[in-house]
Amino acid sequence: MKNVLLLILLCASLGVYADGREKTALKKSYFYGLEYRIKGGFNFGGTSPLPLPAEIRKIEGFRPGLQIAIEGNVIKWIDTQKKWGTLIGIRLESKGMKTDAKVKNYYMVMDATEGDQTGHMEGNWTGYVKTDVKNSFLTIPIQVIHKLSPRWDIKFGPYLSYLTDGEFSGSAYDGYLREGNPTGTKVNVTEATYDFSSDLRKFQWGIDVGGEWRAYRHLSIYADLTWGLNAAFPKDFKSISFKMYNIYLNFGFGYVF
Amino acid sequence: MSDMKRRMLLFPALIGVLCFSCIQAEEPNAEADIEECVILNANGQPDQNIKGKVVLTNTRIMAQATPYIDLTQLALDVKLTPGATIAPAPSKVLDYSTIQKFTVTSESGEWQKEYTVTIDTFDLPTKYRFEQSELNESGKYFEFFETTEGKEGLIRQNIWASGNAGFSLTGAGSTPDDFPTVSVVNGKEGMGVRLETKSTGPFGQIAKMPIAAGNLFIGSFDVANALNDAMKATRFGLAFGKKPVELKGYYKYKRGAQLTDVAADGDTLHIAGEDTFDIYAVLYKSEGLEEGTLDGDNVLSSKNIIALARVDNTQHVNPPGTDLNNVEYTPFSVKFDYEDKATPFNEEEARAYKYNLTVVFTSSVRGAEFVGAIGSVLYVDEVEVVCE
Repeated sequence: MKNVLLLILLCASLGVYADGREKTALKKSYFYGLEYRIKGGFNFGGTSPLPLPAEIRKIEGFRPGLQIAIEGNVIKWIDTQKKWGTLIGIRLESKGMKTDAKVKNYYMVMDATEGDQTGHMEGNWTGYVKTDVKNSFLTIPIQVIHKLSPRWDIKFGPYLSYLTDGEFSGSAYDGYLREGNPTGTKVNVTEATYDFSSDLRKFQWGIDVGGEWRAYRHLSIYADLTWGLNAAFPKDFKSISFKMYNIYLNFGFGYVF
Repeated sequence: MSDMKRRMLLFPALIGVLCFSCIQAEEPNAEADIEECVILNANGQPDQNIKGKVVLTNTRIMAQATPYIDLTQLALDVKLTPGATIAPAPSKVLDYSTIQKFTVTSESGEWQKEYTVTIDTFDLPTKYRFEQSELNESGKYFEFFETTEGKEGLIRQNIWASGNAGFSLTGAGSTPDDFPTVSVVNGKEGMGVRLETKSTGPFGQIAKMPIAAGNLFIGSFDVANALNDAMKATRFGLAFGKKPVELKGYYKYKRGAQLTDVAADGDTLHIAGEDTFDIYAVLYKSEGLEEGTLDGDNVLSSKNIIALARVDNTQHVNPPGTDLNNVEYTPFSVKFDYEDKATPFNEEEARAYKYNLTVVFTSSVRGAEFVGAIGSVLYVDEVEVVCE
C-alpha cells in the first residue's frame, strides 16, 4: 500500500511537472515517435485454478476487495503512420481476493517445520475452505501496441512480475479430513488455519492483452487482462494439489501526454 | 459502429474471468465407510445379547456379547457411505464364531476398504501381560490386544485403545517407536508397554494440543473427534460382569524436566510444578451415559462410578535424566474403593453386564488437558484386575 501511495504522488508530480514545462520536450519526444502515458485503476479477478477442479463444489463467497494498479508507459511508435509500436511500462499493483468455497474429497499435503520438529499432514478434505489473497507486485509489461483508429489502441504482450509483498492464508473449517487417502481415518475439524504466504512464487509472468479508448485528447479508458502463465506457487509446493494462476482484469483511466 | 465491434474484443477477456464460477459436475464418492451397524439375530431383529455399544472404527466392527448369543446365525444391518457397495451382503445370515470380513467399495469404484467383524462372547480378560501388539492398518503405530482361548482357537479381543491415532495425524512420529504408546521388549516379563509424553510438533500447536501423553486404556478412541473435543474422544470402559477388588501390576516412571500447559497460540507454556503418572481402574454403570461410556471429562468424577482404584502417583517418581533401563519395576497394588460412591454395587446388575470396567495408564496425569512434561516415561507390565 505504501508503494501505491508513493507512485500516485510520483505520477501526480510528473503530470504537473510535464504540464508546467514547455511543451517542447514532449513535442521533441513525439517527433522521435515516443509517447508517455500514466494510468490508474483497479484489478479485479482471482488467484484460482482453471478450470475449477471437480473437488470445488460451490463458491460460497467471493470478494474481490479493492486492488489498486498504477502504471507508467513509454510507447515507441515504429512506423511513420504511428499504427504499430512497442510499449514498456512499470506497474505497481495489488492482486487479491477473498473466497469461501465448499470442497469435496480435496487431496492436500502439508509439511511444517519448527526448530528440529517436523509435522506432516496428508489426506482428503471435505468441508469448507476460506482463502485470503493479498499480493503486491512490481510488474513490467512489454507489449506490442496497435492503433486501430485514432481513438482505439489494442495491446498484447508478456508481463513480468516481482512479488514485493505476499499473503496467502485462510482456514479449513466445518469438515473432515481422511488421513492419507479417502479410506483413511476420518477426523472432524472445526477450524484449522493455514498460511502459505512464504511459499508464494516471487517471479511470476504471464500474458497481458488489453485495449485503450481515448475519450478525450488526454484522457483514456483502458482494460487489460493479465493472465498468469506460471502458477502462483512453485512446482515443489504440494499443499495445494492444483495449480493456482493469477487472472485479473486491470481497468481504469489513463492520461496521455 | 466500428467502436462497437472493437469493444467486443474485451468480451472474451471478461468471459475468462467469469469462468471462476464454472462448477464442474460432482464426482462419485470416493469414501467407503460403514457408518452405522446393528447386529441382528436370525429373525432379523436386533440381538438382545449384545452388551454395550458396538464399536465401529475405520476398519473394524467390535461388539461384546453374552454367552447366550448364537454366533453361528447373525446378520448385520449396515449404513454405508452414499453410493458405496459391500460384499458379501451383510444382511445374509453368517457364522460369526470366526471373524467375518466385508469389503466396502466406494461409489467411484476407485477405493476399497476391508472391515473385520469381531463379536466377543468372552468376558473382559482380567490379566494383562501386554505380550501382544500389532501395527495398525496404515502400519504407523502399535495397537495392543488380548487373546482368550475359545472353542475355535484363540479369540482376539481388541480391548485396548490409545491416543496414537490422534498423534498420527500430526505426522510427528516417523516410526512406530516414535509414538507415545509403544510395545517394548523390556517388560517386567517378556514384552511390556512404554508410555511417553511427546511433543506433537507444528501441527499439534495449530490444534492447540502441543503435547501428547502416552496413554493406554480399556475402551475405544474416537479419533474422528480427537481434534474437536479431545476429552470426549477417549471412551473409557467395556462391559464387565464381575466385582473387581484389587488392581495390581508393575511400573517404573521418570518425569520429564519441564511441566508445560498450553499457551494462547497453541505452543507449550512453561509452568511451575512437576509431572507425574496416573494408573487407575474404574467400575461404573453404563446406563444413561453419552455413548454409554465415561470419557475424559467425567471418568474420575461421574455419579455413575461404583468403584475406583488409583495408584499413589507420588511414589517412585524418578527425576529427569534417569536411565529407566537401570531401574527395577516397582510393584503396585490398590484396592477398589466402593465407599461413598453415588452408585452402589448391585450383584444382579453386574451379572447383566450393566457395568463397564476401564483400566487407564498415562505418562502425564493431566495429559488429557495437554498439561505434562515432554520426556515423562511410564513403563507398565503384568497388570491384573483381581475379582471376587
